[in-house]
Amino acid sequence: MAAKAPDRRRNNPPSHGTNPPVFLSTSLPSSTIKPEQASRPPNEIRKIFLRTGLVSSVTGSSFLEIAPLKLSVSVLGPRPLPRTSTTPFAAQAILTTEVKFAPFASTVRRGYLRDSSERDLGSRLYQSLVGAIRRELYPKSRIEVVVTILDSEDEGDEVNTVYMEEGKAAFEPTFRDAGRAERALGVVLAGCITAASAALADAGIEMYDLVSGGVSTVLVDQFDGKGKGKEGDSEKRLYVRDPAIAPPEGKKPLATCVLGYMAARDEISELWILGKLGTKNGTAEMEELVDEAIAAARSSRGVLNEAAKERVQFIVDKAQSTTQTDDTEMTG
Amino acid sequence: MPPPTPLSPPELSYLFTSLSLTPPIRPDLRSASQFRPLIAECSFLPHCNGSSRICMTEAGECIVGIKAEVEKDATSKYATIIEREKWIEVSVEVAGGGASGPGSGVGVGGISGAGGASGRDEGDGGAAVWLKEGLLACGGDGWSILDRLVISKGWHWKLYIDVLLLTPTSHPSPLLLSTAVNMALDSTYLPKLTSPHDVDDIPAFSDDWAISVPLYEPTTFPRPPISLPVVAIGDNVFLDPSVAEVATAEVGLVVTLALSDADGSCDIVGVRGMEVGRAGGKEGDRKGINRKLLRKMVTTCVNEASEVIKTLGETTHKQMFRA
Amino acid sequence: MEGLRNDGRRWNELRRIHCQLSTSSTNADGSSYIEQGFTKVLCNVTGPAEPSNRQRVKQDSATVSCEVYFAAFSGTDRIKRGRNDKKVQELQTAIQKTFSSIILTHLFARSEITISIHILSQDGGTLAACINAATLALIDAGIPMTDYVCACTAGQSTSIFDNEGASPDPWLDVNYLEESDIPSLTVATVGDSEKIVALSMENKVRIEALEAMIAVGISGCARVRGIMDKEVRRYGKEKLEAEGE
Repeated sequence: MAAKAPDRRRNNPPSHGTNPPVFLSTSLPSSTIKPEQASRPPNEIRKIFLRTGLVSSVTGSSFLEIAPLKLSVSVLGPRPLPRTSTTPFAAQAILTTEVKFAPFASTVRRGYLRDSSERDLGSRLYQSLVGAIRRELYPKSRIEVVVTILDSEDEGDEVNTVYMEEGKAAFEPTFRDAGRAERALGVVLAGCITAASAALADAGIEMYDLVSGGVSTVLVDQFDGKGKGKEGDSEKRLYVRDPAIAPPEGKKPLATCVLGYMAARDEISELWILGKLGTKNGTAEMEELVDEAIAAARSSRGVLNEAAKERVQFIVDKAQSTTQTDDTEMTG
Repeated sequence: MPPPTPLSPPELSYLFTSLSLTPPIRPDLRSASQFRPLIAECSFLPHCNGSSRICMTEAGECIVGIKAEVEKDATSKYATIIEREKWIEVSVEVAGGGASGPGSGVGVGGISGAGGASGRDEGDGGAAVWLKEGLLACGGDGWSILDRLVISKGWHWKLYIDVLLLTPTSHPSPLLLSTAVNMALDSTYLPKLTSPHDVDDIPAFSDDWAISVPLYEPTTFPRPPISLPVVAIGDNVFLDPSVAEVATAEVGLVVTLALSDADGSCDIVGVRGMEVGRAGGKEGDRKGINRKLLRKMVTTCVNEASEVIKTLGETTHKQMFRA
Repeated sequence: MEGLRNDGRRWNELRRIHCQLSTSSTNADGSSYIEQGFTKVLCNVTGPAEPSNRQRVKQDSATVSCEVYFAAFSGTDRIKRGRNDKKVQELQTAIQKTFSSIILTHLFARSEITISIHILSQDGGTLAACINAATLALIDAGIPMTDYVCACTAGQSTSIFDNEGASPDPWLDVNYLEESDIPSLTVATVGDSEKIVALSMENKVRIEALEAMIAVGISGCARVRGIMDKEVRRYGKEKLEAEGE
């Protein structure tokens, strides 16, 4: 109710929105604008750019870029609980996480107030990090993780459109990629988890292990009309790590798995599966999907380790250089 | 944050020990995969298209009312997925009718929901998103609940699912929520269209409820989904954990399942992490789920689910026919 | 069928009343559920307990506070009412005032008794159903009161029978359709006595008709009391027998 009240604090654009320009053709030859998916084998994740220590005013921070996804994480704390807090005492540090899309981060503009999907992402990020942090070392304090998503993969409304033929198409079950929005959020969540771990490491907060995010999707061949090959389609399953939003031509996504993974402990801290997985062979279908997501998380863990190491190296170098200059000053 | 418990550290430690024994001893002496008894009623609200009331001893009470309103499509020739997903609106309201005091509607879910969210957010975010997600995912093979909501050219039903929670704890069991929503959906009937499908005039409906159309056909699949909470302590896996068990558990999952055929086999339509207390154990114990445990937890749910869903469905239909 | 109302009742007939005690499994101290026709109300009572808020502490007596929640699906159209909704506030104040005078608050100094009411379905006589539900829940919670508080509505039927100058019979226990059509009032009495503890009317009515309406309302209250008392005794007996075994 309160969330729906008009936002009077800012100059808002028209509530109905405006249409962004749609460029139908381009002068580039079509081969250069092929979907990015085609050039990447299904078991390879996209290249990740991860740097820490970008924001100087907070304890720890990181910036992550995976193709179109750009996000920055700030970690504040550990710092004392506010005096007005409802829980004046906490034996373990209280972790809060907040995920916010910048209004311009997706094709459809987002408001300044956090909507339910953003809150949901925040709580899942919390779940994936809370177990990894050694909270018992920081009693009576709080740690805040703030994620701002600057850009995300989102093809907008146009692509998701289902055209209804005159009156009839609506009554026939037609294929549509219903989990698309969730898949997009999943990729964002995985990025948030990886980047947040890097920022926590940068803040010097003790953790049991770094948590890295991984995503995988299982696809099957799309049949024309209602051809259901229920028995045979297990052979044609294609597992894709770090999937792009658009499924490859002729494939339809069945389910997506996003997880936060602690590689050194071989433990999953947060799991989110969305889609349809049969249970004819017990949990085999699910496990295969989870294994793929773990593999994706392991790949991003490499980048995470490098980023953490790089930062440590930078600090060590800096410390050494300052002590050296100090020494020279002293001696000189 | 994990659900606050009134239990002291020694109590938690005792619980942890008794739950990690082989075989485990649960505080209410249930077996590991046994559910708590519940009272279920449906279709008792005359103003709603579908309604249900679930009462669980410790977990509290949950009332769901589903209302369908006729709405014009936002666009005339096509409907985008984003637009179509707005056809279903789920809202969860917590009214601390119990000892937790008035209006303590913070952090619903237990489903890794609402947790770390800072500030004064509406606590329902987590649960509402999670309930809707299960509903929409429970399709496959081209079927979607959204197709059932199309009335005629240019018109659709807008489905409002309002969940009212009267719980003593601020973290109600996901089972309570999902059984209530499942039952309400199963008892939802929409008036039969009398005007032609392909005319974009305001649709007209029959007044006769005897020929109304069920939202979910009782004999076809998929059926509405159900979510089972499962937690693990040591190597032991517990279904339908109580508040105390959640507080001690090391890891938790909410597995959403839907019946896929008449033989009673289920499809997994979603898995989510669940917030647990992680109290009572030693520092540096398990912090996440390994693959072996994951298999065990999900298998437990899959094994029990079909019976639970079937029983619930039968109860619903029995009450519907009586009415 | 002259003289029958739109739902087939005569002027002095109540709708079906179904009530239950201890319906809720939550750890509320008392709970009840009442159906008056299609008006369905659920009530939980907590207390006497330590006040949640310092301002509510009274040194010599208990504070009675009331919360009313309209379920979004309770009416014909889906309406979400917030906590600051005028109708909600009005109901809360009415109920709180009514019960503050009936509960023996001096027995529980520095404590709070919270009545929380959920309106699940509205079909006329919402305030009356709320008061009745609260009475039952308070009895279930074992909170001492001077007597039952029972409420009922009465409406002034339109003057179609008014051909001989005599005012027509008022209608007892109006439903939603009647409530939106004709002027009506809600009256609550204490126990068997004809003492009025709450009276509310939001329409205008001819002064000559008022007395008859109140009289019919009071007679309705007495019948409601009978039904409620029967249920309380039945429940109490059942409980005692169960404990005796």
